[in-house]
Amino acid sequence: MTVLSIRSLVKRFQSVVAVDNASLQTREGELISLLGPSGCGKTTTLWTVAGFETPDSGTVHFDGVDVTNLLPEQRDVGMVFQNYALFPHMTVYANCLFGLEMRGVGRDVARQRITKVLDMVQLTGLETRYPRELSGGQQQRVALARALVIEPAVLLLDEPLANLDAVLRDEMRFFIRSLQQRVGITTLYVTHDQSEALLISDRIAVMFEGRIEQIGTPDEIYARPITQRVARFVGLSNLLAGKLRRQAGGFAIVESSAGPIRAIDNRAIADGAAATLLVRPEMISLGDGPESAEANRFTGTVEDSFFLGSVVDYRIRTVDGLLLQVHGRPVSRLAKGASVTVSFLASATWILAA
Amino acid sequence: MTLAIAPDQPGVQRPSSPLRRHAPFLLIAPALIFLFVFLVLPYFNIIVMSLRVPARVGMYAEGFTHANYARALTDGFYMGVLGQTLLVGLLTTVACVLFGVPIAYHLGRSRSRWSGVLYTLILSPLLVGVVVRTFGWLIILSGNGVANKTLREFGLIEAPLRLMNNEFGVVLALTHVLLPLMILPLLGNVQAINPNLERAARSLGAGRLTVFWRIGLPLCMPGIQAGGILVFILAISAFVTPAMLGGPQVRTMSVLIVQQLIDNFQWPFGAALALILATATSVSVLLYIRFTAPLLRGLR
Amino acid sequence: MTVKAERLGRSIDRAYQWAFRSFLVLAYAFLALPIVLILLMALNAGELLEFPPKGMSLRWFVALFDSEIFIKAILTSLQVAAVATCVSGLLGTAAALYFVRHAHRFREALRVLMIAPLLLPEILTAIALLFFVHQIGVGNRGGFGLYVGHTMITLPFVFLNVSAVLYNFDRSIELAARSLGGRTWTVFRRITLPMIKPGVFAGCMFAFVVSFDLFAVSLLLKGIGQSTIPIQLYDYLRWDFDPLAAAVSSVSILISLGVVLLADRIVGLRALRF
Repeated sequence: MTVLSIRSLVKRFQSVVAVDNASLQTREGELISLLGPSGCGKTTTLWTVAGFETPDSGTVHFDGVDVTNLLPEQRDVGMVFQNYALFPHMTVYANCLFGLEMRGVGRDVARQRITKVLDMVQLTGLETRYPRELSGGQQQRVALARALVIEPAVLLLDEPLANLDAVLRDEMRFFIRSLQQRVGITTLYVTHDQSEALLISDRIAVMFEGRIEQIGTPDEIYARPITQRVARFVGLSNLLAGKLRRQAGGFAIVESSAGPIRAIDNRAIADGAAATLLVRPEMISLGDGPESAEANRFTGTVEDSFFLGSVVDYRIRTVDGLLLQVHGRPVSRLAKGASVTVSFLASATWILAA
Repeated sequence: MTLAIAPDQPGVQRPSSPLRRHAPFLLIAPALIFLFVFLVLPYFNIIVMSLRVPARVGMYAEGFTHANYARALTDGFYMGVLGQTLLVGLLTTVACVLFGVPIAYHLGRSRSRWSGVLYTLILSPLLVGVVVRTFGWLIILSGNGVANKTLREFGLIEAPLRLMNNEFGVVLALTHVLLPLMILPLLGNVQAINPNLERAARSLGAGRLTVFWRIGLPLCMPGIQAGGILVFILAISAFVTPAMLGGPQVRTMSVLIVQQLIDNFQWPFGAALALILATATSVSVLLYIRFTAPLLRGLR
Repeated sequence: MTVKAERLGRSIDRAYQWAFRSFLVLAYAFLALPIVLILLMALNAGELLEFPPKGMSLRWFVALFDSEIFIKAILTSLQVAAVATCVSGLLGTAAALYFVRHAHRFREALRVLMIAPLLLPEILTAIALLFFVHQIGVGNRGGFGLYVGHTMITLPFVFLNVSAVLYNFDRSIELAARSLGGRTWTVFRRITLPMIKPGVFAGCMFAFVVSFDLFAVSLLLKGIGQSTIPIQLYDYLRWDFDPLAAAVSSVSILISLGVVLLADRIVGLRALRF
């Protein structure tokens, strides 16, 4: 298993800086997602690791060995593309065989390895099919098999699920995750879909405008984002501006326009500095909630509500004039204009820099 | 813009009557009649003409005969010319593939701002008449021409090389004439190839050359096949280039046929030769399609 | 992989790229060379088609304008091309409208017939027409066959270009126009025609250039005493080999180029279809 490390990577296209001083280091067998909006430099970063782009500065190391100047074919990577890039003139078997041929693997060994990997991706029996005779999901799995059969040091996946329909995409997320864990291969996974990244990753690197803004586990990224745009990108957010007042016991109070709100302390922000409070809609409960010193409580009226199936999305205007987005269970829907009390715990509330 | 809301007049808007339903056919009818009278009928007429009895005076004599075919097919001279024509066609096609594939591959992939200029450069020979282009090659290839002058200037040769009045000159000029017709179908083909296929191959361990041989070239086969057929047919039926650069050494069927028709006024025999050429071409193309079919598996 | 092997791999990679680029330069030079040389030779100040040219002058262009046969041939060429373009423009556009919009049965057969003049060897078509015009008793008189042949060969170019535009044409625009009350003819004139204009225009440009350069059909079907530019040049080169031929060629190149540049200006070269 390999440690992949990217150090201070910079890549420009004419005047546009595609990747701006990006650094990250995987652990052995870890799956890291590069998550960000389109044009944020995540694909360029991936391509630099694959060797399709040469960085203007910075290095890529596999297990401490500098591979920055190696040609793609000299690196030991397995790559899966968004549109799979299966060789249309070759059968499933020949597609898998290609990488092994390039490595001079003998026919018999190759046959064993291909059989094994096709079994792993559940495609046994389709060896003689051509790619265009396969469904989207099957093509996706051939692409995985072709990348895995060469037993690469690093697996790179470039939006691999973007071309699949919603149902298949959900299925394939779990499939890829369990396959990656079974093989135990160090993996870099590019996606713009936050729910995909949250589900599949050991850690997520969120990128904006060529920079890696935050690296952390899905929990950290979701519950403790360091900037507002990370917070917004990974989920729905209520953001309230205010001033931080530090308290004992790991908590802090944010003095907002709606009065003091208790939240988990963020040591990165100085006492008295401007801060932004984050509370996710599903962390807010309708009603008084448990009697606790931790609880923040507001009264207001339902201004609007939208039925989303699994939840109802409410807009609630508090008496202080705040507009909160609150997710409630669809049983016993509140009517528009109804008075309501909402509450959320300080431990479910995070403070980030203004 | 003034749009008068016209009341829906019955019988005007509704395509109900048979006359109305078939009215659009009037659009294509003139072209079809034109093509039927001046293309379909005349082509059948060649067959009839080839079976006529040759005459000394007038187009042909009374009656029908297969003697024209017998004469052409048993005479070693005509069969030799047919062979030479097919050879020239084959060599030209091969040369067009050799030149055309790299150019199309480059241009199809190029995103540089020069690609527009290069595209024009490739198209331009097509838009300059074949007589003019062949004349250009005459200037280059003749005994005292540009090529020989330049080579002698650099001391590479003593006596002038014979660059025309042989197969070399004809094939070279035909390649120039027909190359755009090879490149154009290939270009569409190359542009349709997903560039990630090449990246995928490289990440699997293949070098540039291997990628070209194993991925790029096989994926260009539909374009090579289509362009190859076009070039082959046009090379075989070319008249101007072999007539101007072939000299007495390289006689092709087209030159011979025109000679029979215009100089010798031997229409039935000329018609028979033309049909023999057409048949030989068709057979070659069919063989070629059969031969290349396995290379297109999975691509269509 | 050892460091040495990696270096070797990179050198091979670079050598391959270098070889590929040099090949491309050669190939493009090959394409441009004859045409560039003709233009150069036409400016030759000397008596003969010599290389390198003996100084620059426009004397051969002056000679060309004094040459009655060539001027007459140029005028004939322009006239034939104009007539062929107009006729095939009308026939081809109408046929394409039917083919794309209304053809259901025998679609493939119709398509093949419409582009047949392009697929069939020109020389064979010329021979077929030659026999035909003689058998219907018209013969080579007045160049009737010449006009017919040129129209025939140029017809597919109009048909293909107009069809291509029609395929990319969003029919809902027409339906919208009709829903606003436009009649068939009004919709065609106000909506359809302006939208297919680039295709018609590109097709006609092509038709003109192709007709202007057509050889075999002209050779066999020209009327007595008639001659187009390619024919006249071909005849001239049988006996003479001087810069006048280069000057004639240059004029012919410039006319084609002018038409093509005009087409590029108006519709863009990449939009043209063969």
